Amino acid sequence: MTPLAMAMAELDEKRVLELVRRELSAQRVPLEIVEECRIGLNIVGERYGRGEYFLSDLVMSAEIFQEVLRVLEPFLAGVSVCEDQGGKADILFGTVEGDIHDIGKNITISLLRCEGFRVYDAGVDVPPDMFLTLLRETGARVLGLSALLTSSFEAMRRTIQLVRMVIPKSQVRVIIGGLVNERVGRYVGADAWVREAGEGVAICRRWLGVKVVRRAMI
Amino acid sequence: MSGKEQLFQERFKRYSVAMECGKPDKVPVVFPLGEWVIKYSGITLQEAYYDVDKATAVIDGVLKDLDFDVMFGSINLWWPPMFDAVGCRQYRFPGIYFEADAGFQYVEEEFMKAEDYDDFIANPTGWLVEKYLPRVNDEFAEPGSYRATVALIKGAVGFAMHNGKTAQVAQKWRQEFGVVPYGTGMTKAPFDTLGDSLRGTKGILLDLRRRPDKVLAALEAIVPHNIAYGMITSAGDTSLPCFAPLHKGAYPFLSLEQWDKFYWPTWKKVIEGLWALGKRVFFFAEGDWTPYLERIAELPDKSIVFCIDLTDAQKAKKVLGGRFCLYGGVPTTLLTYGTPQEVRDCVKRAIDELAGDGGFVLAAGGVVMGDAKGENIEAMLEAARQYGAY
Repeated sequence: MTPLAMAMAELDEKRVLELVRRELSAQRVPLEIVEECRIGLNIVGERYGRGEYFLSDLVMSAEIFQEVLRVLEPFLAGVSVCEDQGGKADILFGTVEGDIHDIGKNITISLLRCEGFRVYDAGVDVPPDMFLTLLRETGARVLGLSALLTSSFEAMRRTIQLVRMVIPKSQVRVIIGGLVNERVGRYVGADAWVREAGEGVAICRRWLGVKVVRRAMI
Repeated sequence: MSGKEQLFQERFKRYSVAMECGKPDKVPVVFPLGEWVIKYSGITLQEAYYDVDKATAVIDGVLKDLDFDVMFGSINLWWPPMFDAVGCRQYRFPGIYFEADAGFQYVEEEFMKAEDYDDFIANPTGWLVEKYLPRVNDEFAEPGSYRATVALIKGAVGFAMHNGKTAQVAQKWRQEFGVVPYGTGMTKAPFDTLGDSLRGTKGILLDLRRRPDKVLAALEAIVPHNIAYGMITSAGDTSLPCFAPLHKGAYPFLSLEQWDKFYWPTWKKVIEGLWALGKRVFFFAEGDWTPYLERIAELPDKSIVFCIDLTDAQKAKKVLGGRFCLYGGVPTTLLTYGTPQEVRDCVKRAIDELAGDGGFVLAAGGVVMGDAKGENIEAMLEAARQYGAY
């Protein structure tokens, strides 16, 4: 593992930023720097999964990564790592209507962007028709719905019903996250449910990865 | 003494004996008041939040047929008119922001900035009045202006009106139904005061690494305020415990080292400070506190009522049982998603496992959700009476 990935895994903010600046001045390709940070972030996720890291560590890792992206931003122009690019996205993500919780959503979006996915963040308290409009505008193939309140499950269900009326299942898959389980997943009609950001990333990788392979075969 | 007053005294004794870790005549059982009550009433949550009389009438209708000892919870804990009067940005209430039948929600922001630490530490109250209140309340944007002064008066009057009403309602329920309140007053762990309301979750979690010394100094500065706040909001009562909703001390927010360093020392000081004044703390441990039970056992005997939400109940019994009253036994999720029979089975199991030698109160371990089923709550209370005799 490189020193940068290691510093990221150790959540050593000062050292990460110092190494990023050093690599930049040594003409290193920015995307390679992002990749090293991503490797470090994966280790953070693994340690969290094993109970060695805590929520405070996940929040810190997302913060350090955001700072790295801020430093790299001028050098990353045109590369789809950080912000919503040209209105097109692989994944549309938001908290459903009536719910304004966003910490879980933000952590997941950070991890997805680390993986190189283009994620459109629709924000919180997003009405069903807004999700539909944004799906059409961004061309996203995965819809991520987040909710913390049990009372928001109805909004998830309404959103998915509306999307399914207009867009066939083969074109957009829906993943839900938050305080959800199998029963909630079935009730709202989601294609997948997760309670951990890392699992969500794995599923998106599988869904979108498969699509890429198919496209290549055609 | 009226029949209802006698009933009140019996129930109060039952609850008090359990809090002292003794064995009463039967296991005290708690009625969880919450938004679920409104769901069956035909009025909206907006009406229930804003109109205390309407909400009280609904609750009266539910209480009259039930047998329980203690009531926990509230519909109007945050009375919206008071917040509306000052233009509060921290709460969103139904009917204005959400639809009329939705629950209220809390908006978390970094209202205290990292650079505010020194001023806050030097004079917490002064900083709250001069800096914090204008930031969280739109109407206070220009302190001392006519508009801000009127808003301040309206907000204070609203607060007093609601407090008066709450006291009246408690008295009424005592007289009409023999209801014992679970506690009096409120306090918090200094870490939650700083993390929930001032720096926000993200703010405080980052501060642990970026400016740990400032965090520690701020937590120390909060300690005397949270002891005083507990006593002031209890109006000096020491017969019932002081509510303490605990948030960021739950696993897995903090590592064990962080918990030991940042969460526990000042929270322990608040509990010990209140206990020195004769005031017990209602340790409302939302989420999972299993990894910290040994630390909690360091507290003076009987100084808390420990509420079991997602904490491992068996382990809590082993580590805290006998020295501290345990409270809980019925998961809030079961009251929403379970059947009455599942609830009854759960109550029997909880009493078998946790009530044995006294010092136990049967209750839902957390805040019961707005979509809990009335039939499940009834099953919980009935089963507690059925299986709860010592």
